[in-house]
Amino acid sequence: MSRLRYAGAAIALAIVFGCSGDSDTGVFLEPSKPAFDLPAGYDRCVADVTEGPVCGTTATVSPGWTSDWHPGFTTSPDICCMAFPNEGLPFAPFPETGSFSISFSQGASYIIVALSKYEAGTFNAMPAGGTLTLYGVNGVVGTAQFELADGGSNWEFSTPDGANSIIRADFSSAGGHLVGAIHYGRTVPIPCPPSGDSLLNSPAVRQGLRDALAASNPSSLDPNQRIEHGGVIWRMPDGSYVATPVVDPQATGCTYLASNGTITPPGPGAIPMASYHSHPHLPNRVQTHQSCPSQIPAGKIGYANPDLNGGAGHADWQVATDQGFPSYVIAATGTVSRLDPGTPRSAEKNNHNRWKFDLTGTSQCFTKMFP
Amino acid sequence: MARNSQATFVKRIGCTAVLFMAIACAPAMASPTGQPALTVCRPSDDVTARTVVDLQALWAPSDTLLRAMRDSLSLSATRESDISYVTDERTCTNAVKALNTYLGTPNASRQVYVFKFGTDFLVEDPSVGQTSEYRSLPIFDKKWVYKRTYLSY
Repeated sequence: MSRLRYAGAAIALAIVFGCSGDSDTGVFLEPSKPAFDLPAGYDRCVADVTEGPVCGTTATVSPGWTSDWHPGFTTSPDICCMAFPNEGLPFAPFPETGSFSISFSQGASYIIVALSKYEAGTFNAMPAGGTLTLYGVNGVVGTAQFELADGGSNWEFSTPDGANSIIRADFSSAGGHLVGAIHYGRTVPIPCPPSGDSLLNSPAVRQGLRDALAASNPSSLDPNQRIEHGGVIWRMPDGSYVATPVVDPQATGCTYLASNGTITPPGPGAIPMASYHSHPHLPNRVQTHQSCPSQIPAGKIGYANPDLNGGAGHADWQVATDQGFPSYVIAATGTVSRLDPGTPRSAEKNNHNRWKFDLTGTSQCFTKMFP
Repeated sequence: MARNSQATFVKRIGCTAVLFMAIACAPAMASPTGQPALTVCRPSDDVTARTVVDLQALWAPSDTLLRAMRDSLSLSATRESDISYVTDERTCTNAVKALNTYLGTPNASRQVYVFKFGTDFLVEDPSVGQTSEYRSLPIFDKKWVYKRTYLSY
């Protein structure tokens, strides 16, 4: 019921729309665009995908999903995108029937549908008996059998086509005016296509890299706020990989060294496999003495071109050589570069170990840029 | 004997010629300390070749962010062929003076990379700013007035 209460308090009328991104079904959707045409009565999709859902690989099916639920929805990892009835707020007459569409880029295992009705100033659960007709990738798959979950109006069901389904559901209320429909999907971790790099095949490593970039404030217009972050990637005794952040107290916008910080293995038997750090600069963002103290004298300004020389400066390549294992650089331009130790300086610019990733966050996969 | 005298003469001439050449060439080949004399312009190498290519890519980039950067840097080239590596000692000497003013290090002796970008010059002393991954290339106009700083890999 808490979900329903939040639903009413936060938005009241919401239909979560489909995630977008790569799809194994062959459907490719631009970010923030619904999988299907918006149903009649709904005119906009409001959630910024970068703010909220990661539809595809990171949200996991776990008993703790309710803890992800909070007002506003847009930061819940379970929610993709929302559309509002265009009748307007608050609480204009709403149809008793409607439809929604939701797609999952990868691995949707089931969706949860929450319908509510508004009666006499109160959000109430929809009684059982409403109908939802599901459409899978191969067309209509029939009317789903629902059962009320959580004693409320949250209907939970598995996608009929299993993973990678595209779902459309038509619904009708069983009484009262439909005032809100909240649809969100739970995803299971489906591996990205092989990246060609054993470490980058690990979701934990990819997330660690992305976390480092996010922590370095790449979107900040203030150069003093863009500070490189990084860490160390470890192989655990069970063969899994773990990325642990390491704070470099001397880091600036132009330099980061994990060795300046305190490196703590994440557990017994952990073996360091690589280091990583972010390059939070975009070419059109100004740099100052504060952000790059050894490059720019006080009172001067500059601009950095972060995609040259195989994705990193020679000093970064030298770090890889000195430490004896690779160093990964994740850049705000949407690239990840692996710097292998011992690479001759003349060969740095020909680095083929580079990957593109989706800066909008709709896909967690890294795609190799070169053969 | 005459044959020996002739041979000795030829030998002396040869030695004199070698000595003359050695003296003539000495200023360019070796310093008084025996080390190779430094020109103000650094000789071209892999880094300069790559940098020229990178700068030429900056001349008319398709990427909007790079275009914005080029505009912010106020780079002046009108043709890709205007971008080149400079080995003219007089230009490099002026570049060192400008770089010293920029860095606040008057009279420091340096050996620099100088890249010509239209009527602008990008100057780099690779011994400066090595604690970071970025190379620092301040840009000067044709009168050696500082414009902006280009950070490159």
